[in-house]
Amino acid sequence: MAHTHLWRGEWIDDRELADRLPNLAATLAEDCQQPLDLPGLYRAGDALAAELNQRGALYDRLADELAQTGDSPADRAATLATLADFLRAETLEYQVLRAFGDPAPFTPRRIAYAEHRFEAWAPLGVLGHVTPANVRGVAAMSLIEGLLAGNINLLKTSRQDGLFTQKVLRALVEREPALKPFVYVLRLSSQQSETLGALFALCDGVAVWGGEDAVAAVRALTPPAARLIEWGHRISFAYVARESSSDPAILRALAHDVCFIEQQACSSPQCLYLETDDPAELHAFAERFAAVLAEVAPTIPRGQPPGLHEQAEITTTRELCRLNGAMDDSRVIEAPDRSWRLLVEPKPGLRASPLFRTLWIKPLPVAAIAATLRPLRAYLQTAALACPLERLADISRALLAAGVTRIAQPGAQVGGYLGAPHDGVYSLQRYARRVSLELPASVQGITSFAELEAPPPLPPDAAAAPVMDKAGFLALPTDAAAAHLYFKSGGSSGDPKVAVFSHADYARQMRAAADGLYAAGLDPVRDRCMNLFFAGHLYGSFISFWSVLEQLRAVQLPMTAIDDSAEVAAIIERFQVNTLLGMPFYLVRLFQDQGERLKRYGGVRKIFYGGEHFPPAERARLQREFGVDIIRSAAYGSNDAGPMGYQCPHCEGGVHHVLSTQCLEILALDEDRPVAADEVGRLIVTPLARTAQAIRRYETGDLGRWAGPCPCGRRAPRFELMGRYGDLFRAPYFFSYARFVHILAEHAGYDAESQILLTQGESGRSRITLRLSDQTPLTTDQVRDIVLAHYPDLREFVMEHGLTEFAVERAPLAQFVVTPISGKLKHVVDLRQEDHSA
Amino acid sequence: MIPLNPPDPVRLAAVAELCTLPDPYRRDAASDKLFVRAMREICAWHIARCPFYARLAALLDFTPERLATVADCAHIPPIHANFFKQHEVLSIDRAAITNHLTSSGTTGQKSQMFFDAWTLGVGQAMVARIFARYGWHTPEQPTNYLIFNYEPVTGSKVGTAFTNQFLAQFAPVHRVAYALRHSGGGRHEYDPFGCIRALQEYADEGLPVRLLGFPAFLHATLERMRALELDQLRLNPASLVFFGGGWKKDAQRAVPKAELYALIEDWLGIPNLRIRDGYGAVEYSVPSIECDRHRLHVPVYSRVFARDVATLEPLGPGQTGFLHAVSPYITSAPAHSVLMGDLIQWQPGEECGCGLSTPYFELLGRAGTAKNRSCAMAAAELLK
Repeated sequence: MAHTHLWRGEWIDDRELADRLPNLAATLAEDCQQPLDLPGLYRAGDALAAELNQRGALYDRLADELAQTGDSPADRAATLATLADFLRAETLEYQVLRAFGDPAPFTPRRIAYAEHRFEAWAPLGVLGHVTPANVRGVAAMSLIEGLLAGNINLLKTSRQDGLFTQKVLRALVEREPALKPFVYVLRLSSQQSETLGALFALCDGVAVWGGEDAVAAVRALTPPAARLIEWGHRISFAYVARESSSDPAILRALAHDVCFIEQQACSSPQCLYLETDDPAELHAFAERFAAVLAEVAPTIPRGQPPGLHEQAEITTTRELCRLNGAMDDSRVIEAPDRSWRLLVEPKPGLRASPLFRTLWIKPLPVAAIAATLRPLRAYLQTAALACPLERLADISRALLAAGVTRIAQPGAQVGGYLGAPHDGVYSLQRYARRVSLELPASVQGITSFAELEAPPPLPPDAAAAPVMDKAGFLALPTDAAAAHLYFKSGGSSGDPKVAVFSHADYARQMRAAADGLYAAGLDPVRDRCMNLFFAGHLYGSFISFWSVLEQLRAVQLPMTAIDDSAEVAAIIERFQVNTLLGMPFYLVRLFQDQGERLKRYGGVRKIFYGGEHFPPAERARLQREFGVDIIRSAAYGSNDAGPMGYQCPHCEGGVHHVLSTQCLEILALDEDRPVAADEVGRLIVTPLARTAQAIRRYETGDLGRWAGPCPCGRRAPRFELMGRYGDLFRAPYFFSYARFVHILAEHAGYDAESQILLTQGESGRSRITLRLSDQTPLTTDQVRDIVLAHYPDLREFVMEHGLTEFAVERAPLAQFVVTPISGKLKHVVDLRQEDHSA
Repeated sequence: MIPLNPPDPVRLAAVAELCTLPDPYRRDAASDKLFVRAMREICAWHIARCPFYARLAALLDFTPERLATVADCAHIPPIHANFFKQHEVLSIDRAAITNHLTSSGTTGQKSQMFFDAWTLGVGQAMVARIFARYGWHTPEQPTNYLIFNYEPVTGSKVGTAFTNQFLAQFAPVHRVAYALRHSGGGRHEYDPFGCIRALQEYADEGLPVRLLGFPAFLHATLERMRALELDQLRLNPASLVFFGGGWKKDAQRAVPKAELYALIEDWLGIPNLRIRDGYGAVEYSVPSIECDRHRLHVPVYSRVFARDVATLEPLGPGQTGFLHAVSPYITSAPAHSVLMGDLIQWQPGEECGCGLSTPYFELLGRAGTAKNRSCAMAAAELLK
């Protein structure tokens, strides 16, 4: 007995199927509990697509299978090309995004901040598919759409079909075994109603492709509680406005659509309506069109010719039209070799064509569109519309109101785009349910159930990749099409670099950061925020927090870090601002300069800072003297890897939760192994959201260690920041020790020992001291001038913004700080207060 | 039989002579010549009396004088049977219409045809001649009938119901039962138990039985008898099964003729020779009845061509094409050259070996597609 069924990745035959069916209900009930891993599906699809594009053994096997059911080489190639395109991760993800609006659609997410309401998409559960014979590829793609909506799928192929669908899906689940419980492909005859009825009884939904009879047959077997999703036969047409009826380019385009693939698509035009009620005009148009069609038709390759019955249908329809010509104004215009024909009928109504380049031409004034077409609205699909711009709105509105679901351009009527709605719906939405959760106040601060779930593991391709350093990061290729936003990238040993983001990545990161800020205690309903971060010179901080606060729909006053602190204080008071966001030293200076005023005002309750540590002394002062309740990090992250962590109210000091959009590893300082227990190591981050750049295991340059579980209830792991690693340091901008060394060598002729000391300067500013050996003849002023002259970023921060102090000192070598065991000179010594909350 | 006259006995003299030839199946040069003359007459009749047909003939540049041979008659402008579903075209005054019959179509629109006294009468006379030839005219023999068709409700226009009433004239009705009982409000329901009971009672009574109508319902009745494991019946050997109306119910499931005939022989004892199918439609009602060897020979009153489905060329024997029927019998409407929606192949009469010399044709099913192989909607689906 032949093995014609695919059961959870296994080939089985009819007898085994009969054995297993009685237990299927129990199996499905169990498997329904397990969520489907979308990223795993994307990976499997992408791998399969890549393999198909390579035209290797798998491609040949599948092509052979298609050949066995009689497909021509051209058809085989087309089927496999379409399938490969569909399977690409990008395409699959895009479908999910279009239909569900969220890359993690099944994770409940807050829809408002004033109330604790969450919503999510959920799979229907078990989705049946009944696919037609002879339309290759549709079955496999239908099942994969079912997977994208998170369902377990039971697909019935036709007895006439080969094993193409089974082979494709087996290849898919082989590449991602976790998908196996979600895939069943059974080759059953439509006559096996008992078996089919038993299968559909287990389904929460059944998708059926085919004509009215097929749909009716499935409907009869489907329990009333199950959702029937019918993809039935449709009819499409062209509509030509009066003004467009003589345009040769339009006529050529329409002619193309009539001939293309022999009119076999549901979107092919079967009828052409001309905006007229004058038979003479109709006939004149038909003559013009016939002349164009005569030219165009021979240029379009002929597909499979009509069979006996299809030809009989064509002849019958043509003859009847010709006979009508003796009764009324109908007329047949046919090619001499009978390769195309126009059936001109000056009567209202919609006519189906026997296809193979047969087109009805009928009159239809715009005002009559509704009355004529609405009775058939269940079957209408595409209208190709040829009209001038000024009439576009009116005519398309009339067509859509009559039931058309797609309006296309002549010449491109058969087509569409991936991710488009089909027959009036997004298919994925029909394969899913929308659910709501009304939750208790204990979810305050929580935006997504991702925070409450175990964190996702490192994806396999990342786990296999080497650790990426800054140089590797800068060398990453960027997709030019995804290079939308350019922000200054923190420090390097060369020219100022720029980090590039796609809008999609930026949006995802801002959403994650907003979730983090909300977790940290910002109340979008009650807080009145002032955004005091920096803007200009491609800096991203003000802009990012603008986006974050916008995402939270919080009250926001976009001040930026202006020099005039009096203005700032005045606005704070005037608009009752209670929450400030900005850099620590700026905020500290603000409270210094405007201390009296702000003390009188006494309304600032929350401070969220970023970029640097917040000096503990200053923190204490603000809380004591100004009544500030919360002073917390707004987010932990970098321009390169995006936001990486957030603090909930239980996180003290430098402790952060890992954002659900990132995967964090902590690796030992000297080797690439995970740290043990309390060990301090390097923070290595892998963004989980698909990015414009493939960032994997990026060494952020920060040090940290794992912190324990949090009382807040979130399962996102916690880590504690323990300072910087490597030659980069923040003060507050990223500066590079290596750059200093280079400048000293190149421009000051100094190549002896040097190190950077970081201390607390005035008002919490960072102070960079460049320590040189006292053996050098150079003076500190000379060196200072040379360095500032050749280090533009440093100059900017020191001279223009006044955010950093810079000094040069000469010291005996004995005073230089070295690492304890190796005795190596430490490049950067950070002596700033041990409050690593930035 | 009361002799009938066509509406214009002078202008349609050849028509009258042809349509009343005594031997329905004798084909010779004389009858061919007569046929051509009759066709010239009837074409002229319709051109003169039906404006639509006159226009059509003009459009196609056709004149009856051109007809010289039977082969020429293939080029009398054919009208597709579906045309009559959509239009009323007449060659007589409405006052002369005696019957308006509709077909029992299962999909889409119903066929219809208008008849005058001549057309209806001459058609019935043809049937009578055929029945007589096969020895089925038994005016002295009371006969029991089980009619696999709709129980008559007053005013029914359905063609097959009318036909069955007519057929019952060839053997006097002792008892009659219907398979499709009237269930109220003009609706009918198939009554398998009633059919079985009738057959059992007829078997006991011993009179010859005539089973007329749709083969599908007779098949269903016999299958029911088999399922119920009833005793096989032996009806009077002079019983007759006479089908018409095609395989209704579910065209997909048509049982092969040989299988059905064997079933009838087994369960009712009616010999294969006395089981006959017929082809006819309201648009072409010249009787095509199975010969002894179950082949549909065309009576001498008509000629049948197979027309290529793409080019409409007349085809030779053994090639598949549309059934194109030409006959001068019909004066009420221009249906003297009709393109039917059935696919056939034809053969010369001698190929059959039953002794009849007129050609026969084999039905190969309905032409055209109810559905497309793609997702594009087809005309038949749209009509529903």
